Formats: sequence, structure tokens, C-alpha cells
Amino acid sequence: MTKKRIAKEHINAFLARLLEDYIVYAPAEEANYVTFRQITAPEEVVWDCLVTRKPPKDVVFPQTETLFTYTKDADVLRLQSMEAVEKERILWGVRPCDAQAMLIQDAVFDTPEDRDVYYTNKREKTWLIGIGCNQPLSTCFCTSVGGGPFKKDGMDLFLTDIGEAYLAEALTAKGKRLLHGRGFRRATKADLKASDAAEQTALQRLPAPMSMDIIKQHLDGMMDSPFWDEIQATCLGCGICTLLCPVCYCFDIVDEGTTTCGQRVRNWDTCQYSIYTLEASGHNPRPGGRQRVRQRLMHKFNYHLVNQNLVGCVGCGRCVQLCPVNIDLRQLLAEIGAAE
Amino acid sequence: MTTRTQSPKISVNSVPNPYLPLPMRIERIHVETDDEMLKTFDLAFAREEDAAGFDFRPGQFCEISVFGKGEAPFGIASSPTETGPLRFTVNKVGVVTTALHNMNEGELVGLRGPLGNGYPLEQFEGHNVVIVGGGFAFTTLRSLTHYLLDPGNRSRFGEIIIIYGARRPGLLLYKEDLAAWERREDISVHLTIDREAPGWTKHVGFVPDVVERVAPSAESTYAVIVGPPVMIRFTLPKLRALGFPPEQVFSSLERRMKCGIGKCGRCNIGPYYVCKDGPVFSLAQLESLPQEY
Ligand SMILES: Cc1cc2nc3c(=O)[nH]c(=O)nc-3n(C[C@H](O)[C@H](O)[C@H](O)COP(=O)(O)OP(=O)(O)OC[C@H]3O[C@@H](n4cnc5c(N)ncnc54)[C@H](O)[C@@H]3O)c2cc1C
Ligand code: SF4
Ligand code: SF4
Ligand code: FES
Repeated sequence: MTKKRIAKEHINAFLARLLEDYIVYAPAEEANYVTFRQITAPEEVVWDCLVTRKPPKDVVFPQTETLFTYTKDADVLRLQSMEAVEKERILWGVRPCDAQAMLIQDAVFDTPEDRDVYYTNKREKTWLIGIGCNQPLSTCFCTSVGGGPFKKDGMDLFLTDIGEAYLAEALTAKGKRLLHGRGFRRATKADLKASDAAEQTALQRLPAPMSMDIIKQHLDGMMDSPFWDEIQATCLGCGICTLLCPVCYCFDIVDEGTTTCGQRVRNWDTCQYSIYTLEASGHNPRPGGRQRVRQRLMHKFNYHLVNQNLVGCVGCGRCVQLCPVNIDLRQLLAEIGAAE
Repeated sequence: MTTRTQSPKISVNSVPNPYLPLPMRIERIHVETDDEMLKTFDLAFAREEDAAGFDFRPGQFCEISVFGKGEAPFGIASSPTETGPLRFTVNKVGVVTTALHNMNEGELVGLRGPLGNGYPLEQFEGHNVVIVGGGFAFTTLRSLTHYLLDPGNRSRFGEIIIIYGARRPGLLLYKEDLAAWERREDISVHLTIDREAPGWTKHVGFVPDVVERVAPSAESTYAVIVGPPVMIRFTLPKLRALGFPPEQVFSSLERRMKCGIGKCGRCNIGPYYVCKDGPVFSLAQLESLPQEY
């Protein structure tokens, strides 16, 4: 599709134009970290953050979200659903791994038999302007799970840093419509070459891919393996690895209010908590850390493949960076891959 | 096995919203057991139009909302062949169930459903059906039995045998239904209690032992077994000894649930979601899953 170049000095003006028509979410500072949040000015964007604290899933699947409010008297129950989404949104500066994660979530929330309208209504009005990763972090391993630092799946528009300028590539009709106005010029052969070079350099910084098929096969036979005991011996069960994972989509639903008025809310949840599966009788089908760490890996690297033919991990490295006891998913996968 | 059924859903912008409950009125509350821990709730659609679109099969369940307390899943105890309200029997165990127990006839609750797959009735056609139940888990088995015995359906199934046990006579559910079934010629009913009790003339002993005693033939027969995990654990070997292959034995799983539609992840076991791919599974399927139920 169409490729253009935009000099870096014009990029903020482009973003400012988008801000006039869209709600824009971008990597920006919040407290002491960078996260995906709504911005009101181009200057708020933090350009050099590859992996935001909260992934952009928060925009279409918020950490906490009211589904509906209710009022009930003796005769009538009134529900007011919060599903409607008015304004279109742009996710600015999405990285390829996070975009891939959204595609995986689409397959969960947007099924023909049950469309999760809270998700799909937002998603349908959300356009992705991605950016390639010239300098992947030491914790990145997107190429191991089928991704790449310049993978454009799911993007409407994709920017590649080529030094003085960005190469801007439209990937959908929407992206093409966005790609116009002051600052955009025809891309030259040299621009395309610079983009290829950036991609090659980035790829070299990433670890050699692992075989997800072999990992899946080995996991088939590891239900009763002592491997899980070793992980659970250090895992705190804090849930960070799952709550902040861009792919994880588990949620809880709770009522806040009285019997006559209030709201039903959904919140991110995690399979790493024991209460997640605890039943009213006291019975817990996943009673220990062993079963819970196993669930995390089995779901991502085995069940997900059975159901979606996709790995439930995009190699963003958030769980590697943020685990308080340094449990490194890459190492676990290497061990599973090498297991007999 | 996963035939989808119709579910009326409230929709905004023409796309149905699977999270919005339908308003239901509690038409009748009946105390089911002598310890008063189980109550049966007959729920009528508060709006005519919802009733028309509600089409379910035995073995499916609904999420019932007690507003302000939350939602919980319950098997549908009435049969699609019965007209009138939907029936649920609720064990008082926690927040939502206690709040339900404290409600009165005439009050409004919410309902989402029908959810889940239900029993594989098409597969049962032309075969005998042995129904094994324990304790208060008889709810969807009541639905199934009523369905099989319905004049429009009875001839499509072979022999029907029920083996149902509770700790004491006072803990058996649906005593009127049981009495009516016992009077019929086209079903054999075996009721059992754990220990002798005054006035009790039927079986005494645990369900697995009664299954062994009754010894239903596995020939052209499906077994449906629903009850407490221990009962299931000890009954399965008896069925196996009688020659039932795992493909001919079905059970209904309970797992903690939230969404009921395969999104929230909570009821995941192996590649399945109990709410969407179950709750009814064959023993053959269960044997391929991790022991997380
Ligand atoms: C498919 C299915 C059919 C069921 N049918 C019946 C029935 O016919 N009659 C009946 O009495 N019970 C049934 N149950 C069990 C019933 O759902 C739980 O007892 C109920 O959710 C407890 O809710 P609570 O709020 O009172 O308990 P709390 O402990 O206060 O539970 C809080 C939350 O935990 C969850 N939860 C706790 N225990 C269970 C459990 N065992 N299963 C599922 N969710 C649980 C619910 O989401 C509930 O909202 C069924 C469960 C499933 C999955
Ligand atoms: S499992 Fe870890 S590396 Fe993979 S997508 Fe989730 S947070 Fe990123
Ligand atoms: S972040 Fe680390 S300690 Fe926390 S649950 Fe995940 S693996 Fe365990
Ligand atoms: S209850 Fe949400 S996935 Fe089954």
C-alpha cells in the first residue's frame, strides 16, 4: 500500500491534526512510569518507550469498566448499558507485539455466537498507528513467537524511524485516509532502503527464534512434571505477569451498589490468584501455586494453540521485566523446549 | 454436541449484548429439603416477549443476578417440555445464594441464558438412558427426566433407569416428581439413602453400591452421572465394570464462572471452557483433561 515520508519536524503537527478529530492514546508519563493513556498534546508522547507499563489493551478492555447501571423497584428493573462508544480513537505509537496481542484478544471477544459489545464497540472505533522498534530491548523476544519488530499485522498506519524522517506506510483504507496533509512527501528509494536496513539491524538484536510447536508438544506431556514445582517455589503469585500481559484477558464481574441501585463492573483478573477458582464449598480445582503457574504456561503455549492456532504470548517481555522475583519466561520456554 | 439454542438478548444498536440480564419475577419459592438449605425458585419472564425467544435444552444453565450481590450459575431444573416458569433449585452456600434465599415471591431478579451445551439428546435417541444423581445436583437431571418422559419424546428412547441418592430422605429433591415417576411403568426409579431411617423401605447405601446392585446393562445404553465429586469418583469404576465405555458416560461439571460465554477465562480446563464447551462432557473428554474440576 501507499508509503510516504514525513520529516520528524512535521510529525507533531500531524499528531496535532489527529487530536482535533480523535481521542488519542499514546505512550505517555503517568506517575513515574510510561503507560498508554489519553493525551491532549503531541508533546506528551514518550517516543523512546518500547514497552509501556500498562499495555494498550487498557483502551479497549479497560482495567475497570462499568457494564451497566441498574435501578430496581418492586415492578421494574431498569438497566442502562454503558456499551455505546461515540468518538473514534487512535492508538498512537503501538508496537508490533501489542498490536498482535490485540488481534489475539479480538478472537476471544469477537466470536460470532457472543460478541462482547463492550470490547467490540471500542475496538471498531479504534485505529492503530504503529511504530517499528529499531532498538529492541534485551527483554524482547517477539521473533520467538511469530512476531517481529517491524511486523505490521493489525496496524492501519505504520511508522519506521529512518533518521531524519519517518517512513509512513498505510496498511488499510483507513490508514490511507489518515496519510495525507502537510508534511507528507513521496517516499524515495533511499527511504525504503533505510527502512529495510533499520529492520535488519533490529532483527539482529533479537534472540534466535524457538519452536513453538516443539514447546507445545512437550507441554502435552508435562501435566505431572516436577518442573512446575520448581517455578512455584519462587513465584509469589502476585499476578503481575498476567495482569500486565497484553494478551491476558481474564476478568471478574462484580456488583457495586445496593439491591435497588448500583452498577455491574468488570475488572481485570488473573488465574494466578487462588481465589480465582475457589468455589463456595471451599473446593479449589487449582489449589496450589503448582497448578496456577502451570495454568499460565499451558494456557499460553498449549491450549491457545489448540483453540486459536496462535501462541498466547507476543514476546513483549513485560512479565520478564516486571516479575518481582525475576522469573524469566524465556528461560522457562527454553527449558520446556529442551525437556525430554 | 454443541447445538446452539436461541437466547433472547437485550440489544442496543441491534447487536445483542450478552451481559444484560432479562428481568424475571419470582413466581413461587418452595423449600425443597428439610434442612432448608435448598429452595426451588420458579422464575417467570417479566416481559412476554422474552419468554417467546427463550429456547433451551436439558443440561443448560443460566446466570441469575441478585442485583447488588452479583451473579451465579444454576442449572435449569425445568424441562423445555413443561410450560410455565423456569425452575432453579439453589443451595445456600455464599453471597448470591444466601441473598436469593432471603428474597420473596414477587421480587425481581435477572437472568442470562440459556448457557452451555446441555445433554446430547440426539445421541441418546434410540438408546437406553441410565440417570445417576447424588445430593442436590439432581437439578438438570430433573429437566432431562421430564424431557425423556414427555409423551412427544418417550418413544424415541429405550429403557430409562434413575438411581438417585441423598444422605437422608429429607434431602431428596423433587419428592412429588419422584413419587409420580415411581408410579409409572415406563421408567424404573431406584432411590437410596446413606443409612436406615424410620419408614424408609427403598435402597439403603451409597450410590456407587446401588449402581452395582441395580446393574444396568451397558448394551446400547448411555449413562448420565451428576453429583458430588466423591460419588462420581466411586461410581465410575462400577460403570466401567458393567461395561460402559467412556464415550457412553456423560457428566456435568461445575466450575466457578463469571461470563458464562467463554470470555472471562475463569472456567478454563485444558482447551475447554466449561461454560461454553460444557458443562456436559463425556467421560472420554474428561479423561483427556487435567484434573482441574
Ligand atoms: C454449570 C453450573 C450449574 C450449577 N447449578 C447449580 C444448581 O442448580 N444449584 C445450585 O445450588 N448450585 C449450582 N451451581 C453452583 C453455584 O453456581 C454456586 O454454588 C454459586 O455460584 C455460589 O455463589 P455464592 O455467591 O452464593 O457463593 P460465594 O462463595 O459467595 O461465591 C462468590 C462467587 O463465586 C462463584 N462460585 C462459587 N462457587 C461456585 C461453584 N461451585 N460453581 C460456580 N461458581 C461458583 C460465583 O461466581 C459467585 O458469584 C452450579 C454451578 C455451575 C458452574
Ligand atoms: S507472556 Fe510475557 S512476554 Fe508474553 S505477551 Fe505476556 S507479558 Fe509479554
Ligand atoms: S510476576 Fe513473577 S512472582 Fe508474580 S505471579 Fe508472575 S511469575 Fe509469579
Ligand atoms: S465463565 Fe467466563 S469463560 Fe467460562
